[in-house]
Amino acid sequence: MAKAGSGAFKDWETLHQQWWNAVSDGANKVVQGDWRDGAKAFGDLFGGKLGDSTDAATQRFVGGTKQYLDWVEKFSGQLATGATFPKDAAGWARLFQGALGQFGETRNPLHDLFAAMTGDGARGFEQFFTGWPNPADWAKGEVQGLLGMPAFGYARESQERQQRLAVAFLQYQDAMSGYNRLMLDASQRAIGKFESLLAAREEQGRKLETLREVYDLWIDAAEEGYAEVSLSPEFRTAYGNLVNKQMTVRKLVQTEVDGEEAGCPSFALIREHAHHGSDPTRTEQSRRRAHALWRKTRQGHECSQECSGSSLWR
Amino acid sequence: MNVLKNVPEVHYGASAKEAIYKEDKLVVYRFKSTHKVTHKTPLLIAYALVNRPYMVDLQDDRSIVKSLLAAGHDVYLIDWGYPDPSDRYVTLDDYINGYLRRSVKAVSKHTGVDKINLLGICQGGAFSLCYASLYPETLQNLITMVTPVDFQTPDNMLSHWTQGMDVDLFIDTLGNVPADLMNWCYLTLKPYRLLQQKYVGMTDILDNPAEMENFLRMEKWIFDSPDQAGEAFRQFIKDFYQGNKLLKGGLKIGDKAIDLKAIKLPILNIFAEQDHLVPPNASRALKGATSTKDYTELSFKGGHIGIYVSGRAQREVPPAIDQWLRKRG
Repeated sequence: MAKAGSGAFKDWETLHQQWWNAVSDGANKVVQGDWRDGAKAFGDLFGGKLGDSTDAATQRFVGGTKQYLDWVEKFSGQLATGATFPKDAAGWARLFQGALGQFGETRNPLHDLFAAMTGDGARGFEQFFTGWPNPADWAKGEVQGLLGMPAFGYARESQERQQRLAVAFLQYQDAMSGYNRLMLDASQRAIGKFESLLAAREEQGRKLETLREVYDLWIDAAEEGYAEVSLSPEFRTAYGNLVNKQMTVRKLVQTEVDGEEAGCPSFALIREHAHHGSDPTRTEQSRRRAHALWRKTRQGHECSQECSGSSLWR
Repeated sequence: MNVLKNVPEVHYGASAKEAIYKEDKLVVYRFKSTHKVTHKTPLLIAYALVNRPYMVDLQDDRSIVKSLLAAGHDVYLIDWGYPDPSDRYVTLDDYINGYLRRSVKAVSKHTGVDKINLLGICQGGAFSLCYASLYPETLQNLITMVTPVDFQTPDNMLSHWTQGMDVDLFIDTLGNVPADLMNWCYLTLKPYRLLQQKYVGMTDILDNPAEMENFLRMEKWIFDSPDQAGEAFRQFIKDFYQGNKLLKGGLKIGDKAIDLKAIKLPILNIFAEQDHLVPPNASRALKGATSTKDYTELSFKGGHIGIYVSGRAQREVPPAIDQWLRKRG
């Protein structure tokens, strides 16, 4: 068995050091705290010289690799405390699982990967509630108590809307749990596939020369496990359910925040039109009318061109 | 790290171009060529709505357009633009019977020919098939590239995920579909590779200015995505993904029924063997779906993006298109 300090471990250390230097140079907060602080520090390093695209790419770089960095830390930690450098598939699998830790509903590499990835360019299910009150707290708190009560009095319509919203929140949480369970399944399958891939390499006499190879093999296994689950009928149902429940919540929140029922221009519309420098009093209905008018005008324009010209094409 | 500190803002576009037609946010460009145009029939490229079309002319050594110009083609490109809230009600009817039809007309008028060659890419390929079935008299040849025809092959993850979606609720809630959301969806097709491994791999090229610039240019393209016009998206998901009507039949664009059997043009169908967005079988379904007697397939060893920008793509794809067109005028 190769001990820490062997050739392969040196290789690992070099890779780790290269990686660590690259990240800690600009974003030394990455491991200790919120990765976004790291991203900011990383961006600050360039003194505003980066363009938007480079800045966004740097954000994704730091966010996307945090998990890898954590994994490197844990792996190195195990080896530093006396673990031997594995020489067979089973040893690698044990060491790898030790670095990843026990999976569970709140501990899942996929979940962490999705949660860590935010910023300009992409937002996912995890980011939906960013900046909002925790829906779990809301639903479990005061509003939940109102769910079964009949609405009455001056505020009855408002109460009914809040009840509908609370129910929708709870349903969204259920849908999210269903989705997370399948993500956990995907990660657990990935471990099994990783062991199979390791064993297959061993049978073929192909040794793992570097820890980067171990990592790449894990990615192959993880993608296989994810694809298997993502193409299952259960996932199809769970994904559709999650999207639909999120849209229900969004729609109810829009109604609540926008005050559309009071006939006011909506909050979203004002924001949107402020952004585009246009008239905030326009509504969806007027947009639809404008589009219909645009089509008629366009048709009339084409018709007049065709009538005046000898050919449709020239 | 010094490389990353000093890398300039990345730019794209290898070939000079001029706008020959504008309508709302749409622009049709003609690429200026330093080579003699030897093909009398112009080639119009119709890209997808979901990403920006400059992928076909990304940089000097990664440009399908540049190779086609060098081969003597007169190349045009549709830039659909970035939809904003005023485009919320733009439909597929507007895109295909409107913008695409008028773009073909503009190229035809600009070059003085009655028929042009149309190259549709990805979703733009699906649009081109619809267009070709409705207006065959305006086209000489049709080329489809990584184009889904059968939207429900068992390996189509994107399609699988849309089947349980209530698209009406989705669009009625969101209006236009935000680009961030689209990007997220694409990234989660291969989360470990696209959210993590890619960036771990970036450390390997941190000291290489040229590679870093290429990497950042690709990043810029991937995340430079337009929002999707709500009504067009609604119909695309319902009829193409959920209903698979392009292949099965029953598709209507506006008041016009789409029948792939109405297409009798020569077709070159190019697809990528490792395409995770449009699986090869989704494209292969075109064979036999039309009435053409002149159907050619080109299977490319690569992925959905590699088919435009890889070294292999530069060597294989434009020459194949050129030779195929050369034989057909």
